[in-house]
Amino acid sequence: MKALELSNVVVRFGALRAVDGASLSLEQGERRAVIGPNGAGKTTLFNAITGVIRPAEGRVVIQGWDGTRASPQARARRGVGRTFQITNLFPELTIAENMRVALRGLTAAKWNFWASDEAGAGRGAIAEALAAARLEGQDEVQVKHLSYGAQRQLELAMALVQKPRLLLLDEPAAGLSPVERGAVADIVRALPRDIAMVLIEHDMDLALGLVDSVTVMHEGRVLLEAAPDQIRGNAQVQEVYLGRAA
Amino acid sequence: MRAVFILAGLVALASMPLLLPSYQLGIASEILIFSVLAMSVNLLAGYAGRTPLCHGAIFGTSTYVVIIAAAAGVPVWAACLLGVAAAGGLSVVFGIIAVRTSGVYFLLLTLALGLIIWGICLRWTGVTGGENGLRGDLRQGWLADSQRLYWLILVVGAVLTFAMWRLVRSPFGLTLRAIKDSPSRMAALGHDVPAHLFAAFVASGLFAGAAGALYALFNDFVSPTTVALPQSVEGLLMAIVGGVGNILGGLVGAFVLIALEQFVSAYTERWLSVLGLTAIAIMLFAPQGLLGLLQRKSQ
Ligand SMILES: Nc1ncnc2c1ncn2[C@@H]1O[C@H](COP(=O)(O)OP(=O)(O)OP(=O)(O)O)[C@@H](O)[C@H]1O
Ligand SMILES: [Mg+2]
Repeated sequence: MKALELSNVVVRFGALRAVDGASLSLEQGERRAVIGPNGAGKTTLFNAITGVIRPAEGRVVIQGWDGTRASPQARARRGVGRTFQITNLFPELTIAENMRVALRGLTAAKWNFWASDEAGAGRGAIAEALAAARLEGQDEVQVKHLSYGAQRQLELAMALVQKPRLLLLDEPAAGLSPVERGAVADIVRALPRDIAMVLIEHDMDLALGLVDSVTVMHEGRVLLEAAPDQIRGNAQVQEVYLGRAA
Repeated sequence: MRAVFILAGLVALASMPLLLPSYQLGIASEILIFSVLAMSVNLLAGYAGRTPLCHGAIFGTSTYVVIIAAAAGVPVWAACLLGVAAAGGLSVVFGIIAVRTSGVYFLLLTLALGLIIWGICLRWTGVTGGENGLRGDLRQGWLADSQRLYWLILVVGAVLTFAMWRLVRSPFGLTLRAIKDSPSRMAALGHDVPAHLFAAFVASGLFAGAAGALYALFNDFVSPTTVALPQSVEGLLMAIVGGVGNILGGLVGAFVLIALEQFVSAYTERWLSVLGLTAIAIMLFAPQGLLGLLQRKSQ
């Protein structure tokens, strides 16, 4: 059983085919980078996998289960976790509260309307995920008061605390300083090996060092699929990126 | 420390019937009833980030049902339960329609739903008495005494406030606050956002219904005014004036607006204009409400 199988996925925005017949298949535990210039359709592909957008054509099969028409929450319950390119947290809540909300996404505890919010299980799992994302000692800080770097780490921690089987990371290091980018790379490298992961990243040096395989997207299509060391010198890839710069 | 404050507050409120003449005690009763309505609005507006304009209609539906049921011979306590149940049923219908919207769409949709109820109460003369309304027959025996009625309202209000306090600080309440911040992240985390909002809507409607039932006991009369838009607006403004997202905001807001209404109507008929100006002033100078202002000043 594959961790993820996309076949001929098409997403249209009016006349624009943001994703134009993309196919992609991911083994259990595989780590894949998706690279490509701005507007290539990478984030839109994530939205099709997570159910934010229903594709016009094609199929999305998650852990052997056809989720093409399923809601985002149903897919999350099947083990799909994600982070967002544009930080998407609960700014009025504290880190601890953000983490509790994340943890309860997959349990019935969220329906408890009488117990104290702070009571109950999950402390261990939350501490573990925060440690994995290197975000410790700020539990009671409101998220809107966190530095941008810490917010990006919380993005990761909230996905991790759910123990996803398929993890989608949308530019987790975007907008960070070189030191912070290195920290994010270390966090990703240290993830459990049995999690299948798709990483969108513009920084090729960063991305290629973290993954087993690479998918290059361009104008909604999969241009190329190869091992990281075959990507660096590839003329087609350089053309796509240079074409953007020109 | 907090327990001492709460106890002192309750003792102060409980001693009102011994201190106030009967007209003022009536106003105090009204303040307690409307603070429950404002609290119910606050659950949606303050915690879930959905501002409703139908809670006057839900409140008043309960008032109608209590008075009609009691007139039909149902015991008063059972009539009150029927009123709350009717408010709950109405919230189920409203909730199903409204929870998939947000922002100004939620506001306008709930406004329209409330107007439908008002229209029904106005036109269904055979049952509701139309424009003339219905006079009840509830203030008999034990309830005839306005001091006892005040205490009853205080006890029910305190119990409801306690329940609301548990609700907003529970995992359910935290989920609502998170939905207010980012529904899209909630869905990505596996939360069923519409289901949660629906549950909150119904819970909120039950609180509004309880307030409406108390109002039936207090007022012993109901007319389309009770379910009309200004009632919904007042409930919302009380929540905003006191401070949305604060459990006692409703009490403060109800006190300020009802006291102001008493004061203003001694001089002019234009209460609604004054209400509007007050609302604008609050939004400009204390957008977090009066309690929010106090909190900020004390920091
Ligand atoms: N909700 C939307 N409505 C309309 N067009 C959209 C929407 N989302 C994305 N697009 C368009 O689809 C195309 C692909 O966008 P997408 O965000 O998937 O690109 P991307 O590969 O993630 O780019 P970047 O590297 O800049 O994040 C772009 O042309 C974008 O403008
Ligand atoms: Mg993108």
